[in-house]
Amino acid sequence: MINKIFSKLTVRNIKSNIKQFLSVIVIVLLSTMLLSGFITNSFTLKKSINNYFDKTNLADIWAYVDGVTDDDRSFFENNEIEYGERLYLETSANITSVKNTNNAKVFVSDGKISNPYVTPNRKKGCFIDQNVVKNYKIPINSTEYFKFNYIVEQEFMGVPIELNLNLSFEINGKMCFDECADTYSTWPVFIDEETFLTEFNYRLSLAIEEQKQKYASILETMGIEINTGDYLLESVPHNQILVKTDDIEKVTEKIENYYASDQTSSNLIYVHDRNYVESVVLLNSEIDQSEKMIYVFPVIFLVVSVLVILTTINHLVLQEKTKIGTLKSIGIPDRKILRHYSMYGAWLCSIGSIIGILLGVLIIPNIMFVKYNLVYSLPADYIHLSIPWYIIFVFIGVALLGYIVSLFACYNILHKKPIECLRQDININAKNFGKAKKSKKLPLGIKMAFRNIRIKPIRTIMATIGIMGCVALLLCGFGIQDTIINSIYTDLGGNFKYDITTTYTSEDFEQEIIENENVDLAFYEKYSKFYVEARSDKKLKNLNLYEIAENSRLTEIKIGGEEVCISKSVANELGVKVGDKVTVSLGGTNVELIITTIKQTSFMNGIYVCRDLGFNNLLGTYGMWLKCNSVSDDTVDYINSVNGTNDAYTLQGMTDLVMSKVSSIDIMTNTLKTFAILLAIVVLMNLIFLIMKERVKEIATLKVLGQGIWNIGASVFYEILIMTLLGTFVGMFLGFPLLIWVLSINKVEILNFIYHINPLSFVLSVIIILATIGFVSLFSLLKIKKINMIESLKSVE
Amino acid sequence: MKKEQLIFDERYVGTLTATGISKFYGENNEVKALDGLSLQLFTGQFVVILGASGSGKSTLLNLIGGMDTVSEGSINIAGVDITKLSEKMYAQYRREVVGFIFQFYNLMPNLTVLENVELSELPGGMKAEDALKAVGLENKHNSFPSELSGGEQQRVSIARAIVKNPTVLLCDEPTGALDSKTGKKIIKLLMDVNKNKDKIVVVVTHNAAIAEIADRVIKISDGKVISDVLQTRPKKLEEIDL
Ligand SMILES: Nc1ncnc2c1ncn2[C@@H]1O[C@H](COP(=O)(O)OP(=O)(O)OP(=O)(O)O)[C@@H](O)[C@H]1O
Ligand SMILES: [Mg+2]
Repeated sequence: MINKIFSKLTVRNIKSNIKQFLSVIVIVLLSTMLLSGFITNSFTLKKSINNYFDKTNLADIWAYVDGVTDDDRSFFENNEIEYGERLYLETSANITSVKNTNNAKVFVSDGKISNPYVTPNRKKGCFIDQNVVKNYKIPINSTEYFKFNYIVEQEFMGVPIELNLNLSFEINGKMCFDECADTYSTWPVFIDEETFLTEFNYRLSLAIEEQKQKYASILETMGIEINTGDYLLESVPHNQILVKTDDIEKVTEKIENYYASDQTSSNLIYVHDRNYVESVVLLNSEIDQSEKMIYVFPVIFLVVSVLVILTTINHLVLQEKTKIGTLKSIGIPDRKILRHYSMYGAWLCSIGSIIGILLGVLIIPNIMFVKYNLVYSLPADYIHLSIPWYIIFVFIGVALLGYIVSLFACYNILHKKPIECLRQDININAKNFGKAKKSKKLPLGIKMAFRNIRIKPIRTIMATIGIMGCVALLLCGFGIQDTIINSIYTDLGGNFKYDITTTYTSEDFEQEIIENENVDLAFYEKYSKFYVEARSDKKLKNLNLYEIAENSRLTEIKIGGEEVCISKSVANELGVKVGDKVTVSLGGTNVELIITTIKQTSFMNGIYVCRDLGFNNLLGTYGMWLKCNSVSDDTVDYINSVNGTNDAYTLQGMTDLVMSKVSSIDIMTNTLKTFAILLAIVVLMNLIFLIMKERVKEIATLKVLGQGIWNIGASVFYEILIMTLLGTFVGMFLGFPLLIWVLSINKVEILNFIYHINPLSFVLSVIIILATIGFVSLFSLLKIKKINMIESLKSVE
Repeated sequence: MKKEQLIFDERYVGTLTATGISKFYGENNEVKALDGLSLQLFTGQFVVILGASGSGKSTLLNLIGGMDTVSEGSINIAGVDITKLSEKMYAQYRREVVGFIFQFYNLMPNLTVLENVELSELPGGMKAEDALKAVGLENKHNSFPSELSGGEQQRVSIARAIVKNPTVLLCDEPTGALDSKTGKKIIKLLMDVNKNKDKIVVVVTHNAAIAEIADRVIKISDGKVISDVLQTRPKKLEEIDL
């Protein structure tokens, strides 16, 4: 019988409190959506990437040598180390339908260890990374060639000569390669050994034939017979050994010892594990970050949910206190009453979390994978949504949380004697107001607002924390944009002050630009860029090395002579400071540099020198920075049309280009802002509903006294406004730390963030919050209008 | 835009005429709380409305007080038909013309006594301090309602009603929740309010004893006036037993 009555009570309470209950559901929904979404995302990412690494048989150890010998092979075989070999080249290359020359990483291997993932599954041919194919819109099914120069040293007639082979491979398909998943600056290319060898030998024989022609007369007089076939290779010359092992430390040591001894004629250049493969490190750190994401936003939302549930149920119980008193006075056990009221919380949380989990699991990983796919080259086949079974704990946990929070909210009232519950002014105790001061100046509305805030601490805290969270999230959202813009401008227009930047391949280019009347040139500086491997005592990193003009006028990097400038972010990553040594190497040339200055840069990160380090000319990118007396888009168009131009951008054009590359962050910025505003609306709506419910009687009285709707609304508005201002104030201080936190777990490779929030963003955040309040307050006006004076005042309660 | 304003015809100030007012409740108007009731009230009168529970007393008071709208009929005060007023004007009517006193006081719990009264202050009207003095609460200015006894709370609500110097003072069972001694004090206060005979004071009550001191007693049953008696020689307050 009692149970039946209780269930009727439940239905009626739900009806009369539907809006508060809905706001509890919505907020629980939002937080579980984020929580389960990020959990699923992290789980999916981890599983997908590990699966990917397994399928491609990613190596554990990489050993760079100057040539793999048979001695080496027998060393690995005798020690029962699972190994593979390959040829690894870093070079500038061309693709038929792509105008620009670019850096490429070419891998020639039998594909046993660290093989690429090729779609459709083909073993032979030349394959290029899928993101490169996509970015440059390279047609795969028509005949496209991948071309690069390969220099071989040969002895010809007893004299060493350099032969420049123009290798050219038909592109057979696209691939993903886990060692190069971060394909933003270089083109990863995979060629199988047979294809490579055929082309190599063909070009080599042509070159030898050419030499034979050139020196035909000498050869004839000397009577030397040169057989081209003698020059051809039988196998690809390997320079990398890949090892799969469980005991990385021990095997590394073995390899080092072996090469240190004189059992072999080849030399070990260096050896490293997965921690030195940038792409693998990045993917792993992405997994790390995805795990951290679980704690960032959902926690903010959960805290707010707890507060919202607490206040809502507490309010419900207070509102029901005479009912509770009556139930108690007729002898219904506390336990039953308690269970009845705390079940509300459990139910609301269950409903909210089921919907939230469903939405989160379906939506969030998909959004995140849009980001991952923009930043990395990942095989679509391995990215399957995997939902961890323990997501069920989110449901159980949140439902339990609802139950416990409700218990807590009811506890207070249930431990009162029945008579105390039946007494009227249980929640309005004069001593809570403190002493009434005789300040006549403040309008009554504001006084009332302050007193209400004081006697309802939980509600005040809830609203304040809620608003604080919104402001911090909003600021963070704006701050991400500000930071990106600030970062980009640190370099473009800050460190670099050119009007036009251009790269070129032809040696005549410089002359053509100087002489041409279409370019109103004031002065210019040349630079060259090499993608080198830099090693400090502690770390290894691939980075750009710039050779720039001495005492440059177009950059803020003023160096001369032997001076070396390093970007701050790079210095941090390499763990070096002024006076430290960094070794840069490219194509077998190693140069030791001593750092003399450190400079904050954002995307032109790297090492700057103002002398020729003697790298092979073919491996670099050459460019010019132009300062013009007048610039227009036509100038750029003109430069682009000059023979030998790679690309040309105005300062603005370059800014747009970089901007577009970090556009994946927009998703996050917008998600943040949307959720912040949603959160604000839910929190404020809930607050208004609570206030209105609690104060129907007061509002009705005010109406009877002839107060206008706007006047009455103002007193409610003041209350919300005060809490909002409080929350906004605290939120402002939290915005910046949150920004740093969020961005630090969302690092992008191409842009080094220089944290910054514009004053305007503060203003905008406050405006958005105030606008939300205004919007929400309109509802309160409507409610006030609807309150029926007679009905509200008829009952005692 | 011209500001709307209540404009009373000076000649009629002090007369309230209800003509054929009805109030229906329910989906098909099946509950007739008031049924074509007509009534004229004048300043200076201390009117008591008597009637059984559910007879429509409160409904009548609410309609006169501008808290609810009539289903039929009109209520005319000083030349203005208040049933035709806009929502905004209705609020102004309540603020400037009517003082309301409830059985359960309906004070704002989070305002002090003084502030509760100040809430109703009108420019040109009484000062809140004076109103509180009139009800004998000059030393409770800074107390909150929950610190007061029932009778004191009702006195605050009277102060709140009289501070604006209302033309119409409506009291719905003002002594209902009070003991007889306190009740007498309250009635005394209400009579004092009308010393200058410039107000219409209407008291709704169950208590026939109160009726004996009234200038005029109106009995209501089933939403209609069943008797309307002018008492030329009302009893003194001391003579009655509440
Ligand atoms: N909101 C409403 N809905 C339906 N019927 C109502 C409503 N308000 C009042 N009534 C009905 O109108 C009639 C008159 O009610 P009213 O409150 O005026 O009575 P009353 O004379 O003040 O009674 P009491 O002395 O008990 O206060 C009653 O029968 C009541 O049931
Ligand atoms: Mg009544």
